Amino acid sequence: MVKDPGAALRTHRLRPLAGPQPLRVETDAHGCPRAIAIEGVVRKVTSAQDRWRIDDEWWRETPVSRMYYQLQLEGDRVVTVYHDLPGGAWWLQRY
Amino acid sequence: MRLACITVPNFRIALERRRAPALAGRPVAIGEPPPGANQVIDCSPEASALGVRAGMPLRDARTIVPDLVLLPPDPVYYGRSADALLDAIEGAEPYVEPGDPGTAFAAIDPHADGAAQADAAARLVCSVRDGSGVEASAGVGGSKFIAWIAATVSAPGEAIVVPTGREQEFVAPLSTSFLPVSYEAHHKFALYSLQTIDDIAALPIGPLQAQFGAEGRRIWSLARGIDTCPFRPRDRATQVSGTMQMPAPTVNSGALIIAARQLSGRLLQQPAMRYRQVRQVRLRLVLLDSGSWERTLTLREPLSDEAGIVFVLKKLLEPLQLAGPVEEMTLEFLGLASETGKQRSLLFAEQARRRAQLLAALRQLKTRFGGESQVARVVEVEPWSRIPERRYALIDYDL
Repeated sequence: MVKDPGAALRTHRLRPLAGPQPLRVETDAHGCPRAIAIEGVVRKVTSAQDRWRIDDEWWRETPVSRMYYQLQLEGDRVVTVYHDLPGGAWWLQRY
Repeated sequence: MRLACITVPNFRIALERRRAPALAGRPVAIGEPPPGANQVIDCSPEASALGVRAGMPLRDARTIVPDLVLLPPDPVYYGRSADALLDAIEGAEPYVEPGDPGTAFAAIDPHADGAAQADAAARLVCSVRDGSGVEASAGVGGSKFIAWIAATVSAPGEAIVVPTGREQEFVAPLSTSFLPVSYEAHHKFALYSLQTIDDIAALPIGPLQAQFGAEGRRIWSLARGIDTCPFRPRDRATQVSGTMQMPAPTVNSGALIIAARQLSGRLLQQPAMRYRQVRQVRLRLVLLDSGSWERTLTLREPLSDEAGIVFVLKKLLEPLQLAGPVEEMTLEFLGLASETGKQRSLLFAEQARRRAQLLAALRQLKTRFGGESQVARVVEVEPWSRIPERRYALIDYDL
């Protein structure tokens, strides 16, 4: 017999996969990332391998406008981050 | 039998005005813009007075009344409000039959005198006002037609009682436009200068049948205040429903089909669905920035298997063109019937047994952790999206 957990029922949903995670980023004078804090450790950016911009859903109240960077960090780790242009926050994007 | 009819004139307009009181006194119409029917569904008395009619193309309505307030239909809101209206009436009288949207019939005490019947009708009007916030009018008569016509001619918030035996006298001076008959019949009334119901009552049944065919007999009966249409109280059968929020508003039919599949699977596992089959499904979509979409499908044969139900929903969703992205989906199973025997496959018995075991284990896990499924699988939602987190989603592994 399974014990009743007494938890409230919820409406069903599809859960988005690979959602972005908030990130602390130190930028240079041009607004490009110089160092980022991942898992509590600040890592310097050794090079920006790529940079692209996405503008979508401009017809909505909260349009999507992101500047993406593919960065190589010290230790040769490569990550993709983006700068949310309307909100100003930085996010780590996983694929 | 004595029946009370409760009707809210221009029900959908009344609901829109309840939601936006600033619309009061303005010419308002509800119409489905392209890619929908592109015609007026309902309009306010102010718009009617200026020449707008239901069924008119939206472009014509805008041309006739340039300052017409044109609203997109919200069938989910209307459906829920109609249910609330029926519930409010049912709170006062137990036997209720739904009519057109915003109209319902209730059986009242047949032994009560005229004053008591008027009181009963007034109570129903008050119940509707308190329960659903709209002003209705009421009529009492010996049949649905008489009760409806009395409710239609009475002022909002008031009730008219038609005494037994005086039905023909009551309807005689009214316009033939009150008769609930076909458009062709109304067209012929105009051609033959039959302006009042009394003009029709004066005619013998033979010529009416000769001119109007099978409908002639009904016209003849109604003109004499005779309506043989039976009263059928609504059946409060069990309904099984579920709602799903989309991860992001979407117009993608693939994502909608995934959501529909997930909901069907969940609903079929509910205890109410044990040994039951589905005869009707109702799909409601809530769109972004208000607005909604709703369809009710009657299945060719009762189904209890997910694949069959999903097949029907897929056929509905694939060609769908909506006015906006979908935020939420609700699926309802209606008209549940007893399950009849079905021949199962002998070849896949082992596979079915394992699947049943897996389902039982998943159900136990889910109950243990408060309805949150512990096993999920990845599905493609919008694999072409430029926004990475929109491409894939996790759905509960219930299937």
